[in-house]
Amino acid sequence: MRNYIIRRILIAIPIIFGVLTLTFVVMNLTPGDPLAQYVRPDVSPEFREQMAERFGLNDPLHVRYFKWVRNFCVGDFGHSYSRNRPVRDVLLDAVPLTLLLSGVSLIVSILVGVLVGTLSALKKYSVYDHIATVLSLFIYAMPTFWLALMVVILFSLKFKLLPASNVASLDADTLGFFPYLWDRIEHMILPVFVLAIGNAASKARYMRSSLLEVIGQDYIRTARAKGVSERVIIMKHAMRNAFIPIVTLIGLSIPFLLEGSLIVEVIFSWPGMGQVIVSSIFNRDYPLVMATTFISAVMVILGNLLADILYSVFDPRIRYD
Amino acid sequence: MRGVLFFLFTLAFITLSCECQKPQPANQTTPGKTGGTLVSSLATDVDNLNPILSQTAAASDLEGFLYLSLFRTDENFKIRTSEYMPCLAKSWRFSEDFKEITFYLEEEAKWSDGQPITAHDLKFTYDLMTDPTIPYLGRSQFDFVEACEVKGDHELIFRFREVYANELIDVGMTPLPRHVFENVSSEEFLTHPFNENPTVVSGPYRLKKWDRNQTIELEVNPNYSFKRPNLDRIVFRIIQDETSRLTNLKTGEIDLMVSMPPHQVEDLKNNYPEINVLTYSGTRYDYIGWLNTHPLFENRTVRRALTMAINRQEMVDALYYGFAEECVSPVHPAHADFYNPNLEPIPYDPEQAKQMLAEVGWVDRNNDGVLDRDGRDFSFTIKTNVSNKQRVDALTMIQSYLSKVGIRVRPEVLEFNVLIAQQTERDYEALISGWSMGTRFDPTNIWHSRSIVNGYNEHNYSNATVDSLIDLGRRTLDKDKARDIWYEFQEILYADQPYTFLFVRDNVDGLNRKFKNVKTWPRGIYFNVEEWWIEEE
Repeated sequence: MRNYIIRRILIAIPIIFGVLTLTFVVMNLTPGDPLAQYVRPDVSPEFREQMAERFGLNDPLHVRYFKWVRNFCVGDFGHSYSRNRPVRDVLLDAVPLTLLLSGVSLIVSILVGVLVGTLSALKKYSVYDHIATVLSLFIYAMPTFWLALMVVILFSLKFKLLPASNVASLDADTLGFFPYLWDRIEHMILPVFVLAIGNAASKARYMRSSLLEVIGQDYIRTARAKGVSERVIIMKHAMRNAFIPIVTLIGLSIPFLLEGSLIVEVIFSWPGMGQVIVSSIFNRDYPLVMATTFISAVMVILGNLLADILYSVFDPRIRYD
Repeated sequence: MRGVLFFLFTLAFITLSCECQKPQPANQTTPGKTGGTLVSSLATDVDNLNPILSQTAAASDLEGFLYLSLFRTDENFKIRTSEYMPCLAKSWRFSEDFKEITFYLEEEAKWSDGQPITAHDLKFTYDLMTDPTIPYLGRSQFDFVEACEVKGDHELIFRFREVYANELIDVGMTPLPRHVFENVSSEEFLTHPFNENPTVVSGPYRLKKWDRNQTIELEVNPNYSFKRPNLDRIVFRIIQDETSRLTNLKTGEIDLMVSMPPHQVEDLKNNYPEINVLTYSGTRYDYIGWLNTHPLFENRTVRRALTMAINRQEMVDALYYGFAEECVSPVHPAHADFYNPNLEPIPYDPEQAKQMLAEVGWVDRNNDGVLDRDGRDFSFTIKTNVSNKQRVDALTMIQSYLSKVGIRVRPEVLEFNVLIAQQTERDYEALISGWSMGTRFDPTNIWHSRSIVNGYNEHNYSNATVDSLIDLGRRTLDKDKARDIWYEFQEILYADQPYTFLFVRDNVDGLNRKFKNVKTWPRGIYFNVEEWWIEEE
């Protein structure tokens, strides 16, 4: 197992470098002036030239590439042009907030999805199953931005129950521990709901069909024939096997943990990675684009690795040697 | 005569600047009530709060709360030296040949840590601003400064290479505290903790807390040397999305939203009586830039006809719901000293436009609905940037106006950074863009033919008369003489139509009604924020 993991990680290194090299070339060949922000009547045109020199934008592409590689290898992501700050600082601000939001949403979506899907499967063709099916298809089909705006209109503007945006209230840090905690939770309810509900719906569908398939298997019938209680059959034998597709789904969602969701972040003013990634591309902020690409590439590879490892946890027949 | 005039000028400066605001004890009360918080909003976080290093537009707004300058400009946007209001400098005096300015600093002025603000701080800041290793955006303001000298703790002299009209505004510096940066190299200055946490400031407010991308909180500076501001605290919440800012304004989570979408004004006025919508003339204008060296647009009759064929008033009404004003030249109406009021917008008259185009040979000879000349159709591409919805809509309207006179327009909508790159490379035929004008008046960067090579004259406009008017005007100190020059400058641009000037957009800001005594100026709503006060219901 350990050898397997090490091998996978070693294979990942050239893949990540390939991704980064490709991104570097494509980004730099895309038309667009990374210093467009300095085109202002109160800024002299010489200043743009000076900044180009400072950021090394006047060097030929290959020189820039090797400079970037050299800095990157010693952990220096460079200076963000558009935010006028070190890239490292930009990431350190955004990553924890994104992890919090998407981590909680992922957990919520797994819990809800698995629960709803399991109940659906156990009560196949019941009224509950039909309602759950229709509802999850309906929710899954709903565009996130629309849902987000609707919950804001409903819960913030009309009923004034929950805050419409931001991570915490003004002066939240003057509150005691529990009121502070509640304030933070309050601000998370709507974005987590919007992010989780769509994923929960799709997970519920997978869980339902997967569990139904497992329940029809011979070993379940054997267990029933042995007189094992229904509870143990479902919890121990069926669920474990039914989890495999869910694990794949979770593995695939790992990259999104750090990429954030642009729409939800923008609508709820949640200053996470989604905003950083998109604005870095629009601003041709090459150092920031490279850093976020690096994070995404690492997360995709880690996600896949994690899924593969989890397979063997749930299904001991799967071994990696 | 010249000498007498100069003398009178100098006298005017001195007398006017003597009516300055005297420093007062920080706790003295002012009209209106003190206390309370203003919660404002920003679309993006600022990069840092060091006025030399910050590059975002929002940062300069915030720095206005934290740092004082030598003097202030008044709300009428007066741009000539005699109308500046003293601040850190209690007065100033020009030398007889106008090549020197001496500032006399306010002796009582103090930093927030109690240290006096002296000429050494200013000289120190000047040295940083002109240090070529420090990326200071506004360095060109010192292009004509020969030397900056300290003469005693409270006297500072600027010496200029040549005499020109913007001398005073160009040296209207915002000092940094020298004692904080003692023995700091310029490389260390770039990453100094002060940049993100300015502990020693001169302004009415100081930084209390800054949660990156979330909240910036300012509180009253207890050691402020001038009149204490009424509001205890000013908070900026960073909310990127326009709709979310509006929602927050409606729910009362923020008190102030600047730059509201014009189509929302009606709804706010009808359904949210607690929100006061302030609309006032801004400093941004939009234009269609014709590439003046392009074969289609070389002729000014053609450019005039194009302007005439576009219904600008209808665009103001449709795109901005009336919150804009047609404009005729690059001089903003707020620059009242130089704005030429005799120029009326060129009337919308498609028939006459057609006639003018026919005069220079553009006629539809092959009856395909498009004008042609020498076998070439009058068809071209107009580009604009996708992030500005009003410009994209404007492009569609312009396309339809021009098709009515037989001109075919291909719209092309690009990312802002791509548009700028193509503009710089002259890879365009026409484009819709805009400029935001400052208090400093100097058209050189955009209109002088010298700026084609090195500047923002990216439409390749070249007119020897305009060049000489600019060169003359920027050296003319006498306001009346300068006015004549700038009037003529506008008349020539009006005749040449190197741009089709579209409109000056209004500022549309939403502010909770409980804030009283709010004055605005073309540069925004924070003009007199120190005098605002809150009326409790």
